[in-house]
Amino acid sequence: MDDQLKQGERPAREQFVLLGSLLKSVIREIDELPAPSVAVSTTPLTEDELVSKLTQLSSLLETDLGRAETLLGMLCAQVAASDFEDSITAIAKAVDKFAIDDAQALISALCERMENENE
Amino acid sequence: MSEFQSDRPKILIVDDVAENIHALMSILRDEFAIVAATSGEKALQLAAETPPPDLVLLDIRMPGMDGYEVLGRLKNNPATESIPVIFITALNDEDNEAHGLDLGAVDYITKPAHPAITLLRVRHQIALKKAQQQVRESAEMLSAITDAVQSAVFLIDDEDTIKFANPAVQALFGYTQNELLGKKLHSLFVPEKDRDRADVGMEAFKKTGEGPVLMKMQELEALHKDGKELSILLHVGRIRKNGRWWAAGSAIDITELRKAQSDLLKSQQEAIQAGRLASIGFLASGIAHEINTPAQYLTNNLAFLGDSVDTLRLALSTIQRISESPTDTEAIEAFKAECPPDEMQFLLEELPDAISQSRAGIGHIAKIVQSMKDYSHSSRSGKQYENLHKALDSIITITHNASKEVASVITDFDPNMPEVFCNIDELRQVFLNLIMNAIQALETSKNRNKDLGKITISTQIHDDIVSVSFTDTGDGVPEEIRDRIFDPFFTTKEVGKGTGQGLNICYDIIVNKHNGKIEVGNAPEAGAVFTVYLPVINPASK
Repeated sequence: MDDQLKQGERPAREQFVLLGSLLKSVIREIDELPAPSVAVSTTPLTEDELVSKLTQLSSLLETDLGRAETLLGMLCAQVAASDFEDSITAIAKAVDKFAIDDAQALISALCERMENENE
Repeated sequence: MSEFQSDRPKILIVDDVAENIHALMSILRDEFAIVAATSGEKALQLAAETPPPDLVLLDIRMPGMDGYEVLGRLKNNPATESIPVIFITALNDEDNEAHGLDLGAVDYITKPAHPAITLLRVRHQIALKKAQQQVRESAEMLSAITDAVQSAVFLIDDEDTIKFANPAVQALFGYTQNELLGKKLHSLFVPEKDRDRADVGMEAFKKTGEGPVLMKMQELEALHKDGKELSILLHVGRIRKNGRWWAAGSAIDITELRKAQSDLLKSQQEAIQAGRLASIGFLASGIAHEINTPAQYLTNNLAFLGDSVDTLRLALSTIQRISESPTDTEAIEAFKAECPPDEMQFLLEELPDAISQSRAGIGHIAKIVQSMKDYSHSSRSGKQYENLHKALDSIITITHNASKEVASVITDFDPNMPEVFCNIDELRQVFLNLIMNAIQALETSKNRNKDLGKITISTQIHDDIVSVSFTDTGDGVPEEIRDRIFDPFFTTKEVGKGTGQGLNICYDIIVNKHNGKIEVGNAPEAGAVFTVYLPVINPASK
């Protein structure tokens, strides 16, 4: 269907029915997945800790996106309701779209902002 | 590598749809480090980074640069050409798959990708790449080693064709790499005289994997490109390749070593000959004296015989006159006056003794001369079966004058002594050195008195070994110098009396040249015992 849509063709009705069925199956499988075993810390980070994590994230984005996503998930939890929540959420959205250059730019901007605020 | 870089295999996922990347990441992220690109341009940028990805999962249909073009560019860049690429695409028709593989993709997965199958195929490619990397590294390492070693290393197939030759082969034999590869090894390196034998050996090797030069160090002659013969030390091993026997060998040039050995051997021979000449010089005055004594009584006897002949000639002449004229009284009276009976009686008694003594004197002189000739003329360079007793007798003869003032020489020869396979000239040198050592030991002995010392020379046969012992009644050899006594230049004699070469030459002749043994010890009644052990039989005939 993806290929057909890319070519501007409309998929057949049967394909939509099959897609619906597969989606239901996927939703069921998702529901059955076990809860993550790694507890996510929600302890707020100091600014120094945040800078350190962002440096680590920046490196992982270039080398290991799986670990970068895990780190980003932890960061999101730890900056919830803080001044940095929006910035981290923006970075997470960029990473989710694999716009890595954008994510790196956002990380740099955030680090710079923290540096300026501390001066 | 930064602290965040991973040692896990790195996979670059290229897809314009983020959800597809997420789907693949969920399959692969536990085992692999993932990087991702949503465009062909970004993919090329990430692929060119260091370290490069170990594998690229590449979508085909993407806006802008499609997967085929990405693959083409990866293959055209030396930095990325070896990165394996798997196409992962919704294009599930045969033509696209064939086209993708034809362009150089290592695999082709159609969407929707089955997680387990995808994981297995990725693992397979990563393992394959790792194995290829190991093979490449091994080859590089092997190449570095064969380039670095000074030994000539080569590989030939079962047709004697050179498949590999390291730079040392080129340096040793003078050929370029192009002149070596594909050529027959025997035709380049084996001298004409040995080629038939080498070819026969190669034929046997081809069939059985066995051969006369396999798995042992061999010294051979080999040809340099300029036709010069080299001495090489060769070791050859075999390799089973596709059911056929190949051979790998290494060789080192020992031409200079052999030349040095030859020079050393020549020097040793010269040292032995110099020792022999020195001995002759040392013995010459004594031998002259030995010859002078019988020569003196030969002279006296000859004078007596001359006088006697004059008397007898006169007597015979007178007898002839009487026989022709028995009544010639003048002749009879003359005979009675010139040949009185008591003088005739004296001549009859003394003449045979004088002749006998002269014969003995001549025999003694002849024996001394022969012994000197035997000793000084090194006529044989090789070995043959020889009579050791005869050689010992001759040495006793030429040393008699040196020994007679200090020792009586006693022989105790085993009557069953066989002929021994040896170089008798060299053994005469050994016997002379050992007898002269015994004489000098007795001359300088603290226990020397008016009585003569004793040198006993005994021989014995023990199965296939013979021994020759020289025992003196001197002061013996101190325990602390026995380990060094056969070393070159070791001497206990005062400066100017000995070079320290005599026993070293004995050791070299007995141990190195005759596979024998020489021992030193002290006799039970004091004095030194030098014993030489020699194999009776030519080792080559065993």
